Amino acid sequence: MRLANLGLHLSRSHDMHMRLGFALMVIVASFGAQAQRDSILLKPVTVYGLPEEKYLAGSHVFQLDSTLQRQQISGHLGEFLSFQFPIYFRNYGNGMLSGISMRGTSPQHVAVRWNGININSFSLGQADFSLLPVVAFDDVKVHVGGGSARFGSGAFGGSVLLTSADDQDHPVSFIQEVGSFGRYFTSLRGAFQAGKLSSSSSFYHLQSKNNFPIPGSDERQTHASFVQQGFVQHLQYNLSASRKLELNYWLHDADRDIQPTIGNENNADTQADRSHRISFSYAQNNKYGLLKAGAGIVDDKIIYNSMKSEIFRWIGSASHQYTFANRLNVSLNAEWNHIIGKMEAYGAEEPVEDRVDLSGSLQKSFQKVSVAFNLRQPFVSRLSAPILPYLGVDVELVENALHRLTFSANGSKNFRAPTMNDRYWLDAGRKELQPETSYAAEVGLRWRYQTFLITASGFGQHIDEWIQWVPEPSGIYRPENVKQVSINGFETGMEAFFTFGEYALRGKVDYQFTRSITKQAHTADQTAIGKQLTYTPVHAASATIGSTFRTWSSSFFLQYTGTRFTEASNSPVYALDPFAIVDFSIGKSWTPKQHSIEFQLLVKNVLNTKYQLYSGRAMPGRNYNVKVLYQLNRKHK
Amino acid sequence: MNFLNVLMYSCMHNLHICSRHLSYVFCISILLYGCAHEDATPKGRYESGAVIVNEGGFGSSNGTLSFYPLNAGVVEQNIFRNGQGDFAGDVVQSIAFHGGKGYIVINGDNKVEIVDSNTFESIGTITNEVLDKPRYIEVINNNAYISVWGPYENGGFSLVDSYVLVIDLMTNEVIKKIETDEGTEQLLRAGNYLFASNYNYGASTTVAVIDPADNTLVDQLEVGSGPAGLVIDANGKVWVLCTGDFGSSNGMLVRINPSMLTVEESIPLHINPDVDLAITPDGSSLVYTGGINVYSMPISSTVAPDSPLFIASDVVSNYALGVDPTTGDIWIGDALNFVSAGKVFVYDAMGNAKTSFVAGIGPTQFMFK
Repeated sequence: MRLANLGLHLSRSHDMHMRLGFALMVIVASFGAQAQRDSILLKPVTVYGLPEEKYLAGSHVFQLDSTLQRQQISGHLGEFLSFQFPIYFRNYGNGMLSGISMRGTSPQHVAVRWNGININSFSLGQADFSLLPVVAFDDVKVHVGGGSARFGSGAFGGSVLLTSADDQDHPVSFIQEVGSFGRYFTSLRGAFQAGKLSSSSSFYHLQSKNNFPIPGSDERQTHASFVQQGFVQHLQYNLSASRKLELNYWLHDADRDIQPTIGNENNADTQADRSHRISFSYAQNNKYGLLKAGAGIVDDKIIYNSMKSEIFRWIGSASHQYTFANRLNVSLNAEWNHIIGKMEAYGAEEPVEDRVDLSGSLQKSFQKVSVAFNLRQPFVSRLSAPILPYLGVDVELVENALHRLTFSANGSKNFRAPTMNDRYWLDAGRKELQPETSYAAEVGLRWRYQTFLITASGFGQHIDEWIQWVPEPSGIYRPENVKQVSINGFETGMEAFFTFGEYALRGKVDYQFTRSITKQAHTADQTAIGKQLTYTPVHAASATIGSTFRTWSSSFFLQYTGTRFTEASNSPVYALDPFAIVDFSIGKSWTPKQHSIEFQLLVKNVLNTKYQLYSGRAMPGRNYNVKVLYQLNRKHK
Repeated sequence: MNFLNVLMYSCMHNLHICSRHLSYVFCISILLYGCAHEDATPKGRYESGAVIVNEGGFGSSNGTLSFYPLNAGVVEQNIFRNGQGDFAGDVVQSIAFHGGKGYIVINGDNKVEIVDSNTFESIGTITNEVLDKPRYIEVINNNAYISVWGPYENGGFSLVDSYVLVIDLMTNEVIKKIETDEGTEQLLRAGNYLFASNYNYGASTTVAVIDPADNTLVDQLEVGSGPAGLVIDANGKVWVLCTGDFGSSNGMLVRINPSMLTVEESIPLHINPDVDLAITPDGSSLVYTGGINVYSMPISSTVAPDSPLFIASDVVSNYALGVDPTTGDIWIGDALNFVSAGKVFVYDAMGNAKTSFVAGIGPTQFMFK
């Protein structure tokens, strides 16, 4: 039944069939190679980079818990992150366009990077989180706050750092899920090593009829089905113990019926998103330091009904890191993007833009102090970008067997380049638009006491030259650098870990308060002045509690979101009500010999809450998802 | 809303009717009576006043109707909620009243909501698979005539199949699909015919003439680029406001003889006017706008006015024009940036500012009742 479904979908596109064929071939090859591998043990490869958080002393980089990630493996990153942090996502329905809002900024103000490449849409500026499946990433990190000096354009509210890497611990893994509203998820992953070559491949497929009953109504959602599938390949060739070549490829294909607003009739809009991302890199680590050089291609296509838009990018990068004897780390980086806009709306002549970023980072650790300084100078075709510094410091105020209290502070200047749409849209775009800029600052405390961790920080950011599409006297909308926004807020969180015999409990609670206020705006938008930005909750909270007992596990996820205004003058008529949603899962695992088998039941929206993340778009009530996972574990000596 | 508010409101409402039709003393007695005896309250709290149609944010399903009881001066927002959501629907385009019912055309939702015209309580919904971007509605002999833009061409936003749909209101079945030129817009019944302006952002040039007796297309009269607003004047003649070719200044006012079906007069305006056309209460002067310039032209004139009657300088994005059929006040809807609730500016017939108030997002039509 399941395979029949898969076949049915794949036959829709011959092209896809070919690509799937390739994906399966690689995975099957890894099964074969597994048999041959046996006892050939490679010397561990010593290619290190300094962890990202080192160069971001003074701010927080969160690494997501891999166990929790596995529990939400079939979801998209927006669904996952909204339970992990007080981050708001404006989802245009279930499985539809999902835009992130971090620390009171808009979806264009978060930089999303995959294996070091910025993957925000270069036409729209934002990343659609519904197209970032949790299963595609081995490592997810979130940096909160201004970070343009490190991550380039758009890192105002924060940055999401995704890595697809090698997983040699599990030569084979397979996941099958079945859920409410015709939801099926399959993932197949294989890894092998042969001589100096190691490979890790995964294929995933998600489909949903998505015809959920609309809470508070006796109707079902229509025209919201979707299919997504993708293939991730990591290939590594170790030239020597300290030199390697790496190839990463990620294909993601999505087809969806656009979920219409509640009560809409006769809607027929569809959207397909097809993205290829390839990166090829060389790295060497020796007494002269760590050198990396890379090249890549990103091809993003969006086909809305039958209108096609495509942004094609060539990417080149080089970096060098060196650690001096006195614990001073230095890193120099260069990044180049050659962007081609292939879109009818840009006119017959395809606009081409080059973006070059040169940056350097210094990090020095003293006895109780760590200081980081980053400096970046972006160059963008036909506009002048500012120089972007970041200065951060962590100070250990108290450090003993029981306590550790750390003070941190950072300040940064950030920028966002105008999008291709902003600059090249025929008869509307303005090539002369300036980049948006921001000054951001933050102070925080972290207190670790035994297995407790309590954090608190206050943050502020002032964004200037914010680009808005505004009406000209002729009635035509054009982008202008017109808006100023001031953001102030604080966030606090607590993490704790307990064990009672065989019972283990891990909990995390976060709360954020954000005032994100328009200070200056276009003539047509004067009612927004002094008001909270739309779709930016003042209050947001999240909590997760995970517990294990022997081979049983359970998780509890909570997300609370306060009132969101959807209208610029903050009229209560149009405000979306606060809501709390809870997901709950229970699992059991078996590990006969080298094998792992896991079974999990996930109940989403346990409280059957009626809520909207974007005005007029329904979200499902209580629904269920069952998962079976099989993994073959590598024997360790 | 609590009981006290409702009571207070209905009292104010009575007062308002009174002041327009009865002597003050008599009015007070009615008022007291009305407040003491539930039976004598009016047919509904929305019996008399101005209905403001607000599109809402595109794709946000928050189009609304606001109600402004004339003289009472307190606007009420979001007076009708559809069966599924918290608002009237996605992109509310227009409303028409007929036989005690209000017909609300929801452009984005592809349906027509039917309400009691005095209480705005839901009576029913017209849905149909050929209802694709409906614009305006007119009811004749228990049949609804709905102008429909129809689908876009594949891969673009050009209209390729517009029509007037005739629906039997007893059964909600489609009786007839009357093909017209693309972008069929406003509807007006005059004499024995129904007139439909084929607008299409200036790309169509005709007014369709439909005979409601047999639901046939009688003619499509050539008038000029972008026919939009339609009114009847004191002499029973039909006036069409042609907005002109996109980006030019060849708008026109065209007079049609509704029985002979001939074009009697075409008056170049030397501007690209906005889509709405209004007429003074006595039917003697036409009112139209070009951005914030408000023009008035007597129906006897053969040339357009050189200068505007007045400039609505407070208005940012003019999106609706109406003339109160009783007082002659000129109403302008300001949509601002379409992301915040729009404003309504009311001027007297000479253009002196009278009042202004906040409506909903994208105020697009005024209907006085």
